[in-house]
Amino acid sequence: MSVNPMYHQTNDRLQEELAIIRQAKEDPERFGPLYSRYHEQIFRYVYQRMDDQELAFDITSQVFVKAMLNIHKYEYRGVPFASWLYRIAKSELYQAFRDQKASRTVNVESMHLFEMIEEFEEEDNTQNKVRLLNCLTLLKVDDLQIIEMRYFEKRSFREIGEILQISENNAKVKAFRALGRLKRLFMKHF
Amino acid sequence: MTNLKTTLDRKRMSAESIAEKQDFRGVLESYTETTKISTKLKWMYGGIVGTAVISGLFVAFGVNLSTAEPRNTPENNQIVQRPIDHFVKSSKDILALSNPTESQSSNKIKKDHKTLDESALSADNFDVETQNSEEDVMVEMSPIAEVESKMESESNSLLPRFQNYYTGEVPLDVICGNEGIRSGSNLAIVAYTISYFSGSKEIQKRIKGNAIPFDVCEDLGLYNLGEVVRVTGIVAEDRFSGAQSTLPSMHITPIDSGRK
Repeated sequence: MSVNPMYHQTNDRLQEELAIIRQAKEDPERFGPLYSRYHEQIFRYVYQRMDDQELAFDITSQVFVKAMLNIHKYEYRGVPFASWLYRIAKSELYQAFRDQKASRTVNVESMHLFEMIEEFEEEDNTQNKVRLLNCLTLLKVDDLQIIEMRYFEKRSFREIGEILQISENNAKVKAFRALGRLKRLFMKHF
Repeated sequence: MTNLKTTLDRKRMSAESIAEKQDFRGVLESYTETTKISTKLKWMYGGIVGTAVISGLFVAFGVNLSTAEPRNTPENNQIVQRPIDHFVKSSKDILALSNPTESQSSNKIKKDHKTLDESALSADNFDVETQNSEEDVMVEMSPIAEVESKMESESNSLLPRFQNYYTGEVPLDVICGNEGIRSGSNLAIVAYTISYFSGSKEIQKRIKGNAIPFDVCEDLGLYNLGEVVRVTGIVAEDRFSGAQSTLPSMHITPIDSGRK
């Protein structure tokens, strides 16, 4: 699985980022470089989970406003600043779903469905793809979230762990269990 | 998961088209606007909390003064003296009525009464009476104090809490732990309202049960560390009788779990 170079950074890069964060804490205008660096990542994360493009841009902007408002509370814990932004994005997204401004959507590529069906050792055909799509809607929120991150967005376990504030191993276990539950649903709906 | 929509092979947006939508100026303006609003809100809440604290102090002092003052003032001694005079006069009447033939003894009693009346004016006896009256007060007050202290301990056991935290700084892992809000051993928390500030807006949620939901925990961790979070309308149910009651509100400040 490919490693997201925008997320995983070298120690030097993290330190450089930390210096920008310190400046942004003093002066909000200094937040600019962080905004430019993470805007696309956060937008893709938001838009992956909803259908309305304009609303996705609005929510992305809201994420950065919230980040600027709360940056004084940010504490560096050796992980990229993006993990903190993802958590804000998740919170904003869920708020939009609760307010019924947006409906929860799972955007899947045929290739990802094919990979999953292959993992289930089933035949790759249209019927199985439809079945798998239906099974995704039956998953619990937490399971769907981890399946989405791991198999559709191709995030590393380390990245998933940092976003969900769990350990890398725990992320592995959770992803494995979620996939198992999806497989059971898939077999049940044969 | 209900209300979930699935989309297959949606057209991927290019990095350029996303970059075109970048608008840091707009974000900065929203930030400035929100800061102004949140400052106003903070002043407003500060004012409300300040007024509540001041009125609370007034009530507390008022209660203390009203219970403490009568015990030590000289007026209190006079109040205690009056019933003694009254008692003497009335006993005279009672004795006169009950034993009209025993004039001698009645006279004797009268004499005694006289001496008692006179002695009541002398300084030595006044001291004694003062002591007596203080004793009376002490005897009178001790059951009250006992009741008060009992009430205090009972009210403490009825306080809602996260583990042992009722107010002030509470580590986030305690708030979001498995125990949730608890109270006296016979009470089960059935519902509560939690209000917290989330960047630009005040969120208020009515929650069933005593646990803090996952999404609230996330918001608390992200936006409310070091901020006051109010837990109000805490309804508790007696496990035995099923009677419901509202417990006192909690004002807590979530802090990073590593700090305490």
